[in-house]
Amino acid sequence: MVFSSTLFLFVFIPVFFLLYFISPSKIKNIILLIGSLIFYAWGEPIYILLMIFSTISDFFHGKLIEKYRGTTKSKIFLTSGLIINLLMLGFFKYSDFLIGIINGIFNTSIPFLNLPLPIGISFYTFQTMSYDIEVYRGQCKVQKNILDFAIFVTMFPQLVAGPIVNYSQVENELTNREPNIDSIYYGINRFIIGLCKKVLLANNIGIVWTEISSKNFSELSMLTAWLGILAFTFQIYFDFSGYSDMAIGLGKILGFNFPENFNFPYIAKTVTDFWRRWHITLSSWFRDNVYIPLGGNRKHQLRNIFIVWCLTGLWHGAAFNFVLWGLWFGTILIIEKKFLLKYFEKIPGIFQHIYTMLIVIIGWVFFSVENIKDIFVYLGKMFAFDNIIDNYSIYVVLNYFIIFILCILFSAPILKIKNKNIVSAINCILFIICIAYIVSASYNPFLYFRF
Amino acid sequence: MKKIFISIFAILFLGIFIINLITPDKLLSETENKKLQQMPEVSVENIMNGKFEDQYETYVSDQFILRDKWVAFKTFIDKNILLKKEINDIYIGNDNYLFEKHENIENKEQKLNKLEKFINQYPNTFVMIAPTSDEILKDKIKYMPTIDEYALLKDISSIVNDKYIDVYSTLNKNKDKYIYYMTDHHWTTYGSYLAYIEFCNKLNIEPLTFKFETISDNFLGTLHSRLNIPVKEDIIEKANPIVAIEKVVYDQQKEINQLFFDKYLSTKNQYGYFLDDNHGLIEITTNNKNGKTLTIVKDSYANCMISMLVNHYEKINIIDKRYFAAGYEAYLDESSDILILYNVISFFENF
Repeated sequence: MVFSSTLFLFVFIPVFFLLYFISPSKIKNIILLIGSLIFYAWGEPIYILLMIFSTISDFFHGKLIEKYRGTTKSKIFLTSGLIINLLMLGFFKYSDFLIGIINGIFNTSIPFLNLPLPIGISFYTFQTMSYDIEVYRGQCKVQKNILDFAIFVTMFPQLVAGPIVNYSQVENELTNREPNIDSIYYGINRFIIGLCKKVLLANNIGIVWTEISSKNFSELSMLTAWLGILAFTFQIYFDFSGYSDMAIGLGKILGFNFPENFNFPYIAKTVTDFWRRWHITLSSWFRDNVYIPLGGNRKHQLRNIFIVWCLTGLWHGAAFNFVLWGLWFGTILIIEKKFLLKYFEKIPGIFQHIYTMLIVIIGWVFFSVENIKDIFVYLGKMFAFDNIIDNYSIYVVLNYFIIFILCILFSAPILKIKNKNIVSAINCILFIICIAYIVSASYNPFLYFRF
Repeated sequence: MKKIFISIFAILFLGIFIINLITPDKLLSETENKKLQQMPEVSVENIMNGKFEDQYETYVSDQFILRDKWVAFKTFIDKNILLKKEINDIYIGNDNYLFEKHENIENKEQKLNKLEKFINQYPNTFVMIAPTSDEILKDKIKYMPTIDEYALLKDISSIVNDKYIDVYSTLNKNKDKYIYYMTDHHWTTYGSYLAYIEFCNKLNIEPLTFKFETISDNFLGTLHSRLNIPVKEDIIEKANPIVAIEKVVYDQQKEINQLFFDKYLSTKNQYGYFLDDNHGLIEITTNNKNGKTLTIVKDSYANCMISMLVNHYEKINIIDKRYFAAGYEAYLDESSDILILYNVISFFENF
């Protein structure tokens, strides 16, 4: 189920929250669990079994890690818990990627499995793995109640698109949360902001990228190429951060405090800073569970950075362009750590910012174009001065300049309205506008009557 | 204050849910020209294979209260706040003209081959393919991406050769006249009259002059349906036939003996006034007993021209392949003349 749909907003939310808030506290978790399972099963009637399997597996692994604490058996169960999750993730997400590599190297023609990707699998496997790890490290207490544990894995706000929540962050709230007027008020406002980002900004600017990315890249003018990747730059930020906002908002209404996932990444002055602001929970996960255990910046730093960034790229997608994307950033970050950051303090902020955005935008070309050859054709067009402007690029500017300006403005923390009443009133109006856009998205008149 | 705000939102979410629940379901949408999804069947099989979920989601959005008004509101924001020139696949051009944004033509070679086979099989076939407004009036939508219809017409004419009726030149010459509707994808009756003259010239018939009668001054057509905001309305004219119409049979079932239908003038789809909108087969008999029969394979562009063409034939058969896909060969065999008449976009989609 998609948050920005009439089904979720005007069927699921009213029914679920009505039942949730009229239930006595003891029943609330059951309602949350059932609601979340329905939410997930709605899109994936079969794959819900995978998620349930992952839940059961890590619930028992947690107990076993705790039971044999201090012995090697504990470590064995940690390992088996992680391996089961990684095998599941690997099989459903990366099997065709691996088959492609094997076919390429050994000249075989193993057929592709073409498995549809289970929704949220990259998120809930990482969450359950973090539980195993935190139990092992003693950073949280073992959860003895499988229903409460199931809530941690399956709860619908952050299941589909994050933030990745560590068990310790919500450990107490699973069984003991008290939403009050302030948290519900904050939650609703946060949810609306996320909805606006997705529906009003991301979906609208996304049309530009959809159109331009379907063209023959060798025919693009320089301006068209830049407008296209800028559109993607904004689309992915507002889509992803919008989803995180909605997740955090819904969490707050339920009484959960999820971690922040985005902190205005596009105002970063260095790439190092950018990665402290983008998909924060993922970088933290890799830092705590891969980078530091491998030695961090104490032993084999370059190797560790290389591994972490390959994995970060791969996590985003099972194809080589994502690995390239990860390595692009890994390389830049190493260069920054070793030389650039020292000199950067002397450069005016505006140039630091331009440099950072250039790196990020070029990175998005790697991320958004799957064919490696096409990536370099596209990059070439961005710097080809023989064809700077064409009619199509003028059309994009004429049609989308206001949306581009709004995207630029809202990428920065410009709005600091102190008066909460004004904020609420604006959010009400924006919400009504969102409904108009959501309803229109499914409106598609035919020229003649369709039987 | 916070409590009031929370209450407002609770009422909004719950209220819309309840209103949607209690208002009766609509069967079809006039503006969208389609049947609306009804409550899907609840069965274990449908739930397991995802069909129920998809249909239910469509059901919720199709039956959403005030659907057309929400679209109008979104168009309003797009136009006046985001200052967009292209909204819901419609270009907002100069001088109150709306234009349809067309997808790239697919299956071009396939359709051209089909046409070639047709004309080889029926050598008495004339071909008239009309450009749409976004080609002829493209000055009103500068910079907007359009399809090169002129090139497509050239491709068609090169296959058909001497039986190709060129209407591009006359329409282009008269582009400052009211030859296309502002809010609809059809040409006006006057635009079709210019094409009728070319038809006559090609067949060495003396073109008739007609009295044009205004039958509507508040027409808002298919292009307007995508926007639902107030725009300048179109005027529909009809050309009265000069010969007497003896018999008109629709789909071999209904004998109605008329070419014009007033009932459409009070609906959204006023263009349906011509020939009762779209039928697979219409058979017209006139009192011009010259023994000649014309069979037209067409889309709705032809509808307003029929009252001009009937005057030269004793019998006219009108075939719309979207609703009468096979079995019409008998009509082609018995015709003295055959005319293929489409707008160029629809030709590549529907021929």
